[in-house]
Amino acid sequence: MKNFFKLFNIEEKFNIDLVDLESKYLNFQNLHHPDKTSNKSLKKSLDFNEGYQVLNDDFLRACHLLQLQDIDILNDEKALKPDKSMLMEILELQEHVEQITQKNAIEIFQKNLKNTITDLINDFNHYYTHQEYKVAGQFLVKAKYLKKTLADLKIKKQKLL
Amino acid sequence: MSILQIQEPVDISNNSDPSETIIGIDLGTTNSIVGAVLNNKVKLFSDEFNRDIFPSIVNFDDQGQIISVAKNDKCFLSISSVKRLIGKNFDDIKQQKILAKKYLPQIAKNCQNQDSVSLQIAEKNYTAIEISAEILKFLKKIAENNLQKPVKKAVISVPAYFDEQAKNATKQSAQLAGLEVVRLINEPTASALAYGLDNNSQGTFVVYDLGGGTFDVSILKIVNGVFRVLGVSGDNHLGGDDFDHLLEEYGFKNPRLAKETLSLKPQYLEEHLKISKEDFEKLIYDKILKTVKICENLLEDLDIDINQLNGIILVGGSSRIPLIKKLLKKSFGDKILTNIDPDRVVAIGACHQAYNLSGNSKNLLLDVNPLSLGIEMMGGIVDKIIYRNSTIPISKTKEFTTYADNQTGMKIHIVQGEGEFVKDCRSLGEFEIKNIPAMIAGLAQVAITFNLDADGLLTVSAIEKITKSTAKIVIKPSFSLSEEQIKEMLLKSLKNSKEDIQLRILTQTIVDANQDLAIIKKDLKNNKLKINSKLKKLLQEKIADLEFLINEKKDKDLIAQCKDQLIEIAQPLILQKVNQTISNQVVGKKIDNF
Repeated sequence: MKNFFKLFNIEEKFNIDLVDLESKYLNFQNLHHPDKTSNKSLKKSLDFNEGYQVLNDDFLRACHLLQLQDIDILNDEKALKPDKSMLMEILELQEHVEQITQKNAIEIFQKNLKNTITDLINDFNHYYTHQEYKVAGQFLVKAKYLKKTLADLKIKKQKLL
Repeated sequence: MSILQIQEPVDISNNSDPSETIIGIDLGTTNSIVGAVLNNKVKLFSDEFNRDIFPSIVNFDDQGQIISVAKNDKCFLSISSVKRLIGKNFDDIKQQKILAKKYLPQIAKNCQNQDSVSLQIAEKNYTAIEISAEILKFLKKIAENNLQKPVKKAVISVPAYFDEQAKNATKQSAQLAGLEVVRLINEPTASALAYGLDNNSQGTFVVYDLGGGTFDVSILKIVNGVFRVLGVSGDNHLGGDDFDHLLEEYGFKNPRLAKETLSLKPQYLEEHLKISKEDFEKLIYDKILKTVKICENLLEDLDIDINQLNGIILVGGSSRIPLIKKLLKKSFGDKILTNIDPDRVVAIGACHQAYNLSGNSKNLLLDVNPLSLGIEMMGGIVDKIIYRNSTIPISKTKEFTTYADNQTGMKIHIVQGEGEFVKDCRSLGEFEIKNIPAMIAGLAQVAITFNLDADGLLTVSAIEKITKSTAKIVIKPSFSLSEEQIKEMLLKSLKNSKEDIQLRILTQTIVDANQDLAIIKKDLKNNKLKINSKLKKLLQEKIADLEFLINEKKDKDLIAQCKDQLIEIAQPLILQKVNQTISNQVVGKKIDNF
């Protein structure tokens, strides 16, 4: 498992300085991008692109922290099974989303969902810092489903326009 | 005519000879421009008439011989806008109303449905690639006259929507003209590069590029000389030609003149037909609104707030229509940047990128891939490996396992698109990994790697971890989905989204149940395990129940419940097996080795 925190030489924790991350990323690319170096190996440029994509996104960064604890909810469906009540909740939410047709209502719903996801990630961070990785992971699994719903809403809204 | 002198492609790593001048070319539909960076400044090259913008026209005599390029000469036949035909086949032309009207009369009679288009001019046939090459030869000559030395390499701008065929055709044209293409640069990206460097700007910019036939939008962030594309979008069939078409339907014989006049004056008069600016704006309102919505959607996709935008750069001749500024201002506020020349900005950007790639510059351009890439999973689900708008070059590896016991091969089907199911995406190709050693389902590990290089070329490779058996495929994704196809795909995925999640859960439940079933059925046949007849009967009954439910493919809860019951009943079996495995491993081993 790659450790992107090590790659960027930053501390392995959830709250990081995104401005510092961006400037590090751009500096690295200036040195290692195939357009800037005669070195034929793409490896470094690839790693920095992937690493930046992960660390720059709250949800993906949280998932990466869990990956480093051997719980990979992004790639391994069985890493943490969502409990049934959570799945039911998601299905109900999906049904609710189906009924929304007004642009304004969609936007309010999107905003609420985004806030909920932020809360879930904060909850994750709380348990993560207390090293309760499996509990922390459950919050991320839920966030993963909500992000899917959010994506559906976006498509729905764009269709309205 | 002996123009066919094809050069072998030169290794790109040899490009960094700082004394060699790489030229930048805007090979436009209507006009073309050529230049280079000299003494740290962009210089656009002029001809003997002091022009630095050249009409993309090739003139022929009545024998079908080329008599001149880039001149409005009176002649037997002039071919313009050949860029519209680049990389297209006969079917493509027939399907597009505006193209068909203009070009069908000239298309060679022997041209079939899937053939790339060739034009019949008097007694001779020309492909679009050959005609385009004539323009490039002309531009190369202009550059050589200005530089007083031979020119071999160029950066050429292409529309962001250009598919792999059109890009390859552009490269072939350049080869015919004796030019090696160091990089094809997307036009909106070139514009941002030009704007950013000439104004020494920093921040986040939208490039709104409305040309004759297409609409492109890009969002870029410029920080300390690094130009990072955050995302791209657009519509392949929306441009100034559509406005001409609407004016033509209104009754005007010279729609182009009408359009240009109405951008400057309150009305246009042709014989007895009159149209006011207001009526013209009503006519084109829906189309312009659509472009603004595409911009808004892209911002939302990238999670960028309007307040974070530093400016909107308008590019392309059609962006001169005042209604565009009006609607953009309404949506994004007064951030429109007008201190650039929309006709020359793409060429200036191409020159800058040519200079960047000659190893002289401190600037860097980071581009993205426009559509998600993934592979097909059991049940026709798409597992996305590289998401759209990811910065390239990028590489992603994911591990997969076998689905059945003793499965020795795995077919890897690569798809492109945003849909959740394979049927909603576009197939790019497939390959097979063989010689996986026979073992229990779920034990084999196959790592699949997607590599997307700086030119957007995709390579997919797979390795089976135990035998190191490998397979590899190189794919050129052709980003040629039309707006209609994209819209259709989005609509479909919306309609299915509820069905999707339920179907997904059902599919997953069945996959899980089948795996457990296979294990328990195997254990039943394993004579090393002690199973009393009562337990055996119970298990067989439950297995039959579960198999019935799985075949029914209806109720995920019942399947899951039945599977859990089966596992419950099989518990003594599983325990026995675990104990045996452990004792097998312990036997003959020193305690230190644990």
